[in-house]
Amino acid sequence: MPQHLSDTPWDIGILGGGPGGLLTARMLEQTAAVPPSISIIEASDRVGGKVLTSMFNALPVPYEAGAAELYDYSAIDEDPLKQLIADLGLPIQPLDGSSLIHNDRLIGNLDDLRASLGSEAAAALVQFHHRGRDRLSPREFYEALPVPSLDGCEGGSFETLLASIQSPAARRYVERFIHSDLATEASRTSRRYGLENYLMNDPAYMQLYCVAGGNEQLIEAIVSRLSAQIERQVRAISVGRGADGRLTVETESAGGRSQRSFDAVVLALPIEPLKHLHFQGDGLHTAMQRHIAHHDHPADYLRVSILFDKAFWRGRWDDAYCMLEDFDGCCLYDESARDPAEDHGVLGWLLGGEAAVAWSQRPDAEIVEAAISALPSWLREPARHHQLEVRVHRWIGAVSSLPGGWQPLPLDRRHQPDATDHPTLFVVGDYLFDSTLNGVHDSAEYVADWLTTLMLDRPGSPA
Amino acid sequence: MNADSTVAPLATPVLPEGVPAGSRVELLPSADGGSHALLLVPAGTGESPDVVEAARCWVAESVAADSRGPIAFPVLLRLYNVELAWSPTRSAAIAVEERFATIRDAVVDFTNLEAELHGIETGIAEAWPNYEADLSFAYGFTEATLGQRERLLGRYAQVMSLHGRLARLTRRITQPAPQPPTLAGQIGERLRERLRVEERDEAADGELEVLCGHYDACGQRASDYTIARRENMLSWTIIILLVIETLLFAADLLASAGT
Amino acid sequence: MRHLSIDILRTAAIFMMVVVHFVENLSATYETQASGGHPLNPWWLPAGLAAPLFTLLTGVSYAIWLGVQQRRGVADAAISRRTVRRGLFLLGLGVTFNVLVWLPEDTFNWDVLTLIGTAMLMLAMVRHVPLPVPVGIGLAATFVAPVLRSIADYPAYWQNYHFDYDFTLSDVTLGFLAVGYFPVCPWLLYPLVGFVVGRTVFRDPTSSAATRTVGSRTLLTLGGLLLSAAAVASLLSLLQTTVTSESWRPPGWTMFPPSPSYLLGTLAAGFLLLGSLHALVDMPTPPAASSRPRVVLPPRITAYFNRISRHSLSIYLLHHVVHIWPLWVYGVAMAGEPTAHWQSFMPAWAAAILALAFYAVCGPLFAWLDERGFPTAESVMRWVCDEG
Repeated sequence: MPQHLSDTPWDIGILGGGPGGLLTARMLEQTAAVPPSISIIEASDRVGGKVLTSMFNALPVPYEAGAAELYDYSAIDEDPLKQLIADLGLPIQPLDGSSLIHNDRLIGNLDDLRASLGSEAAAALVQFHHRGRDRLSPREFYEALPVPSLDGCEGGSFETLLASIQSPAARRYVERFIHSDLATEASRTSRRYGLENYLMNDPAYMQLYCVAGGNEQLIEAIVSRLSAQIERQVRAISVGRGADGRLTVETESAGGRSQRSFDAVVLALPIEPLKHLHFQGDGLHTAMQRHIAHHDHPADYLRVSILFDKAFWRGRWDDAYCMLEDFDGCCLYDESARDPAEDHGVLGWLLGGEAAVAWSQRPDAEIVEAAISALPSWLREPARHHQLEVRVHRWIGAVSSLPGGWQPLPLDRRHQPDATDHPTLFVVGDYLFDSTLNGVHDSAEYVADWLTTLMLDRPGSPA
Repeated sequence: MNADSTVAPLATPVLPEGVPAGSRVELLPSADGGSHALLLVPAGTGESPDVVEAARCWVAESVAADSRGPIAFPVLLRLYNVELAWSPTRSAAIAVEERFATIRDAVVDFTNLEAELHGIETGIAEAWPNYEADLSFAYGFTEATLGQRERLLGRYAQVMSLHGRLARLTRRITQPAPQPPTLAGQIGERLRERLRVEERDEAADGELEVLCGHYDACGQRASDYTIARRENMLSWTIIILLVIETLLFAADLLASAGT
Repeated sequence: MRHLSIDILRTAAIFMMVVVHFVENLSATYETQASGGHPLNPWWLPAGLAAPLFTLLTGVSYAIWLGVQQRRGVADAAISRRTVRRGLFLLGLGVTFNVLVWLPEDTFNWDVLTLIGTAMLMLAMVRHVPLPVPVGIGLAATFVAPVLRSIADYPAYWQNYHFDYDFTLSDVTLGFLAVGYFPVCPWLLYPLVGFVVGRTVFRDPTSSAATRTVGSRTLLTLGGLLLSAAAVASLLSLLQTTVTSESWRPPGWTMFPPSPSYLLGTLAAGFLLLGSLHALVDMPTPPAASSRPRVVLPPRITAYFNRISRHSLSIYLLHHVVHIWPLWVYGVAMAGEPTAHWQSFMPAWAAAILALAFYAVCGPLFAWLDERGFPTAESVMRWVCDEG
């Protein structure tokens, strides 16, 4: 029965105030014929999840404490996330950088690599690159089309793909180059995910950009346009189904516990918080456990940001980012490249995988010293000399090392763990796609479209 | 310039002051019949700002004012271990000796491409006054203006030639850089970005669309008018013959009535 | 705008016309009555050239006038209106002139004024069409003329060496078409060809010396070709075969009716003279230092030619009045019949002197009239036809 304006709007609860929850709420408000009543329940005191732009105390200078870059697919086809950013009127800044610092030397191209690592390594890298492109085309990369030779766990992990590189120097180069993107070790992720993270350095597949002034502006822009009710510092405890057939969510806040009923619930949470949520009913519990088990492949990040009184590296190194060989390969960002008019400088280190886990357990001062030591010799002393303030952010288990699991499920099953008994319970997350904001946008869009269709079929239940 | 650039060191190289020993100037023939001077300076362990400045000034000497509108010359690039200053007639590179051949090829390739684009832009600029003067011909032709066809044909050929050159050039401009990136590819990409080659290509394409569309319309009008004129003359021939016939009948009738 | 070549040629045509008319109307049969009244044609009489030149120049002048109107931005409808009015004016003037100056029985003589009036009406119609069309019409008129003359029995209207007709519709119409003094077939050829010449050679008032040279050479070339054709036509007509009748191909050079050699020869003369004068004396407007004419005439001479040319219509009317009316009055007074002394009043040399005297007076007379702003036939025509 089609929905009429006089029908009762749906009551929708979204657990998680990160990008997944916010994007789902925005899309529902935009596409639903009758705007639903949406409640976003967020356990922390802020929304935005891994998108976090912070400010130094020493100077009013922003830096990215969370997701530092966004992925631009517009060279291949439509990029809904980039379009959303443009629609919100946010300025976009491209990020450029394709170098790795090896033995104090910048390897920025094949010529540098040949000079530093030898012709054999250069040839091996070219061969690996071309084979990679043959295995996974930009269109297959963009649309996540199945590629039998890459998908599944039968063929082994990404490590088996790296083993095909004949030159040890080239293999090591590739490992170091993509380690911070993978946020895990090559043996713990699939060949496809690993190859995707390598090929995304090829402009034919993807380019990088950020929101000028801080990526968190995206979150602020979305929130400012939402009619949804956002409840901060409210922790969801359990999810179940009530006697009236509606979904119930039990929450805990400073005011105590309460139970709420919704026509639909969207779980926009990372895997780790999902594990701590109680699901009522054997069917739902089993379905969610299955969902979690399939997608539980945590990856880790450790972010170090240092404010300097001047960007002393300019003139020697002018890219937006490069790779360092330390920490098994980490990414070094020049965040002040996003604001070249300023005199100060901000460098950011992104450690991933086991290195992130290991160093996250150490004190901040040790981490900072290790980060500075990872710089080439021509930057180390100036770094110590010009340092103003340091910040360390730990994102342990915050991303997935194998988004979608070893064998990605069909989209409906990914987003609807218990289709039989809980058809209005949905899951949204970057770990279902590619561990990026683009992925979480796709996930949110999928669920929002689904819910919009459901809402057209029947009205909401009276409260 | 050819892809395998012919290198002819000057008989008496005019090196700028302040560049280290081992530097040389190579005179490379350019596609427009002129030449492009390339100063190659071997890099040490760290470039002295004076050497960089000397190279930059040497390139800047050759720059004519406003030769590319708002783009200021020389264009300075700092790539991985390479410092490059470029202008349409001179460039200077500071890099290790092993990179000289790659740099030379990249500079040759880009200079040719940019010169070709600039030539097309110049041709377009020269065509605009003619466009304004010829606007009325896209609307219609008259007997008095029919004699302009040859001139319009010449202008049509001129803008179509420019459009063809631009189409061939666009393929080179939009060709993706090799991956994994090479120094030559990066130099080309950066120079294209700094000289706004893609935007200029798109702008030139837009302008040529207008010009070609206009002269195409002029040709269409001329053709329509010529055909109409021919048909008109045929009609008049028929009219004249009919009038003659009528006159003869009338004369015969009148002559018979008179007698 | 004025071209000196056209002014000179028109002045020459006026001169020839005045002399020929004076001599023919006053002396044509004076010395040849004994020989049966055959028309006079002394060797010094420039018979037959004035009318073709005049009508050719009418077409040329109309084309130049058209260009001036268009450059001034006059609306096309206004141009058509003025052209048609002028045509009707000249037609009416021609008929009126025949009634008042000649005699009422000569109302439908279809003289040169009615021809020019008809030509103006035709030009109003064909001025927009491609130039080959008016040429085609002219040629059609030329080729159909002998056929019409044959059908209409031309000699029957010219028994006494002048056009005699009855006041019937058929005679009047046939006179207009083929058998009158200046019927449309073939005389329409001259103004139409003149129009095409004006549109091509005299199109651009600012033309350089090079352009004028090209125009002149074209005219001279065509003139030469036409002269050659005229010579061939004359030769053929002299060889006369028995198959053709006299009305189809009169022998040699005849104006009434106009023979092929006459048509070709007079056209050739017009082209050669116009082409030569255009190359020698014409200069662009405005004058350019790089485009000086080869022959520079004194301003007084230039002004004289300009004056005579501008008042050609008035001179045409006046010279008839001056020598015909007194002849009628004398005839009525002496013999009770106005045409009693027509063509036999005085010897040819005396008539020629009178003509020269009249012509000599014309210049100062019209200068005096212009100075005082007195209306002339041209100013009346402009006043009647060009307003609105």
